[in-house]
This record gives sequence, C-alpha cells and structure tokens, in this order.
Amino acid sequence: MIEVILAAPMVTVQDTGRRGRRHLGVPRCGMLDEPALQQANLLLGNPMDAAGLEITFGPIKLKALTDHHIVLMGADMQATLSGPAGSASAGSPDPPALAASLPPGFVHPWPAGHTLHLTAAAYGRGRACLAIAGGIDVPLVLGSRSTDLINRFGGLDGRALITGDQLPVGRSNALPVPAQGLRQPAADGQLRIVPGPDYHDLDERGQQTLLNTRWQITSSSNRMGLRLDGPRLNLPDAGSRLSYGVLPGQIQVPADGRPIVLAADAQTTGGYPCVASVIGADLWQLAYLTPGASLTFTEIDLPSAHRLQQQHATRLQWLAVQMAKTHAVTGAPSADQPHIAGATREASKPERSKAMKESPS
Amino acid sequence: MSIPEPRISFATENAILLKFAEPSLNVSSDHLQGRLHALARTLQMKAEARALLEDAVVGPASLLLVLYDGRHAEPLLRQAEALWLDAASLPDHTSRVVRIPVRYGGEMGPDLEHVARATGLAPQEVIARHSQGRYRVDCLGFLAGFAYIGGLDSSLYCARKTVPAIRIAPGSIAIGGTRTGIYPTESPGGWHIIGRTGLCLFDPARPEPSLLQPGDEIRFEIMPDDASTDAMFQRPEDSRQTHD
Repeated sequence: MIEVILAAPMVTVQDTGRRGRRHLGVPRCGMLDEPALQQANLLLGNPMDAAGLEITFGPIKLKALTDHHIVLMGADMQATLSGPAGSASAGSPDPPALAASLPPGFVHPWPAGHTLHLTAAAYGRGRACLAIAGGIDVPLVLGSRSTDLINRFGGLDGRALITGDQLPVGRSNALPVPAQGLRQPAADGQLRIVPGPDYHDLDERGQQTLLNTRWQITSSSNRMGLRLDGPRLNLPDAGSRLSYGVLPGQIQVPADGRPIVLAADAQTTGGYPCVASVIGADLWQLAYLTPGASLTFTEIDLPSAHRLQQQHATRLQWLAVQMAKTHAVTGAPSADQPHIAGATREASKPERSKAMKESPS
Repeated sequence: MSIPEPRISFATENAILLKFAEPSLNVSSDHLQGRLHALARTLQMKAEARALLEDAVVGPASLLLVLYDGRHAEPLLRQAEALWLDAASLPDHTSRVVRIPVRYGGEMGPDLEHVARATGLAPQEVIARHSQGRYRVDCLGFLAGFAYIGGLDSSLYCARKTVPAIRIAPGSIAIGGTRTGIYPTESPGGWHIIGRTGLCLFDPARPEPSLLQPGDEIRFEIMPDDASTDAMFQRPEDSRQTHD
C-alpha cells in the first residue's frame, strides 16, 4: 500500500492501455512511455503490463505503508528517499542527511514508512514513470487498470491522484535485485512517420512543409494530443469531412492548418484529415515532447516501420528472457549485455533478505 | 443496391482504413452502414480473422481495421473481401428499438430556446418534431458510448455553438449540425442541449457497457417534468467530482 502525502496535477495510474474497445468509443490510454513501463516491470519481475504511475508535474511525496521495490523511469525528477524521521515533521524539508538520491532506471528498495519525494517541479523534460514490484492493484476495468480521464473510469475512480489517496499494491513473487538497472534512450524529437489515408490531399509543397519544419509544441498539448505550431498545412475541405476511426500516433490536420499528433488518450473517431502517423517504435517519445520543445518528422516506408517494430519486440523479449534468468538464479546480471547497465553498479550486498520479507499489501 | 468500392489505405503501420464515400459527401446510407457493422462483427467472431484483428471501428461509411501486426494486412483484407462480396455471409442486423425517456427544455434543455430561434420553430414544435423522428445509430465514437445518430428532421438542423459549453451533464440530448446525440459522460461540447435522459448510456461494469449499439433504432419519448417521473431522472454519478 502507498499513501499520497503530497499530490501534483496529473499523477495517474497507467498500464499498457485498454485495447480492442475502440469500437465502443473507449480510448487506449496507458503509459505514454509504454516501453519504459514494460522494461521497469521486467526489472522488478512483474508481468510487462503491470500498472505503475505516470507523473507529469512535481513535487510529489508518496509514503510506503509496506515494504516495496520500485523503478523510476523517464524524466529525472530528482527523487529522494527519506526515513520515517524525515517524513514525520510534516511541512518542513527532509533532513538532507537522511535523504538518499534515487537515479532513474534502477531498482531501489522502498521500505515501509519511508517517503519518496520527487522534488523537481519542471514539466520541461517530460514525464516520469514509477513502476512497483507487484504493480498498482486497482481493479481491471474493460481489461485494463489505466486511468481514462475523459470517460472517468479505470485507475483510481477514473481520476488523477489527490493528496490522501491510498493505492493498493499487488503481491510480488519475484525477488527484485536492487541496483540493477537499464540505460534509457533519450528522446531526440525526431519522429519517423509513414504516410496516412489523406497524405495525398497535401500538395507537394504541403508534404515538404510537413517534413522540413521544426514544429513547436504548444501549451494546449496533453495526453490526448500534441498540438503543433508552424507553417499552415492546407488541405481541401479539412473542416467538413466524415469522421472515421483514428489511432494514437496519427497526425491530423484541422481546418486551421496546424497539425495535431494524437496521443494515448485520443478519442476513437475524428473528422479531420489524417496525413501520416508516427510509427509505433517512436510513440514513446510523446511522453517527453512537452510544451516549448520541438519535433521533426522523417518519412520512412511501411516495411521499415514493420522492421523497427519487430526489432523493438525482439529487444523486449530478449530482456524478458534475461530478467527471468536473473530473477530465477542469482540476482547478478551478466556484465556483457549491452542493455543491462546494472552490472557495473551492482550493490555489494544484494539485499535479498529484505526482498524476501516483502509482504503483500 | 449498389455499394461503392472502398478506398483502402494504411492508417498506421498496423491499421487499415476502408473508406466508402467521397471525402466531402456528408451522407451515409443505412444499407452501407448495416453491411459495415455486419462485416466488423463477423471478422471479430471468426477465429481466423480474430487472431489478426485487435479492433474494428466502424465510422460513417468507413471501417478501421486495427491489426496486432500490420504485416498481416494482406490475409486479413482477403478474408474481409471474401465476406464483403458474398452477401449471404454477412447476417442482417436484427434491429432493436431503444426508447429514450426525455425531459425537454427548462433546466434539462438549456439550449431549446436557441434551437427554436435558429430554426424559426416554436419550442413546443422543436420538441414535437424531435420526439417524432425515426433515428438510427450509425456508429459509436468520440466518447465511450457516444452514438452518432442519423435521421434528424432537416427542419431541426442547427449549426454548432461557436464556443463549446464547458460542462454538459451526462444524459444530455443534443442537436449539432445535421445530427442528434446523447452525451454519456460529463464533458465539454459544442452541440445544443435540448433535453436530458436519466438512462445510463455507458457503464464499464455491464457485460455490454454501451446502452446503444450500431443499427439500433432510437425513439425519444417526452416525459413530464413532475414528481411522477423523478425516479427516472436521478443519477448516482451526479455527485462525482470533475477533473480537467
């Protein structure tokens, strides 16, 4: 069990999303950086689709009511962990001597009574993802634990977390290995796209504009979509078309000519022309492309998009196999694997006894 | 009845869009819509297709096929084409009639007066024509359980609001352009609200979460705004918080 001591806007429970319900008008939702959650779950010995928290703004404070293990991924929100003494004096800053800094990408124990403090307030570097051994154990709604903020179900009562909330955590059978971690790719804002149904409604100049512009991300961007600013893209009758089914990643052009990249919470149907779509292998970057940042589009062909998708799936599978071995055997990852950086920073004591004492909450 | 050839394109690397109408043609025929729903349902029930298909989203005169892996688009399209060409393989949808009890006007329909002014009809005439219409659910989308309902009397067509309302109550009956619809969830929206129903349009805990299904025939029934119908218009979620 976790208690929210101090909430900030837009902390939500997210897993890998609600699939196969778009015909009912139900959006996908889910962690914007889905591979970060999947990898963190593997480090913790969770199923890949276990639910975690997506954190947009800080500062926030969370208190463990039972012993847990966590992995923070994504934006470094300057996480520290302080003991019961620090958290007891509400309102005053935690004594620095008790606060241990938690680098993102690594497994950390989070003992009962300790407060996790994400100190950074900035949204500029994007969102953070917190995964926990056992997963956030809110009820499954339509096959997912993700919060649907638009339709108000899933997650915790269909809403973002507020101060005082208590979150149940599932039972973990794995023995997470503290100090084991993963190197994360950095979002470079170069999104690869494939042409969409209405690509040829853009004239050649429009296609060049789409590909040659450094698009600015505006402040009206959110989990539904990234609204971009730059030169106008003109399409015939962009404002008066029939709606059709749309998906996260698609690039819509409304009548005002400023493109929108649909994100995880995007509605299921849309009436604006869809000129292209960001490939699945690059969608995770949307978590870090926040207002003030910019992005560019590079066109690739379908076979390349499929090849990149396959590579991505293979890497995750490989990591799953490696982690299954690690959790099953010793807790010491082998040093020659490019994606496991934990080997170089392995703790001198694996702390397995602590992991074994972990109790269901 | 002749059905046009669809335009087929990749929507993403893992989804195919079939479009059956000219982009600016703002009409949809019941026959085409019925066939599209039958095709979507049949594909989702056939084991061979279901293995490849994550979702099938019907829009007005369109069908979006979402695949687990876009590399299997070819075999899925072959199955879809075979079903489409063999009329007998697509069962006719047995249409249900869903009755929606509505309180029109007043607090429940704050934009009724505006619609009356915009259409040049008396408010009572707007109510009469709206409640006498024969409607069909063309498809679901926009919000969970939101139905795109066709069949609005052309004398009730009314351009959307220039500035959307910030908060529309769940169950609100609205007119937007050439359509009427029911807001399942509290949300912002640009349609004109002429009444409200107490029915729950979408409940994720129900085996079939959406009250309205594509192809359903809809009848709006006028309910008196008095104590005799109060129980039909009480909503448990009215006390829920708003989150933006």
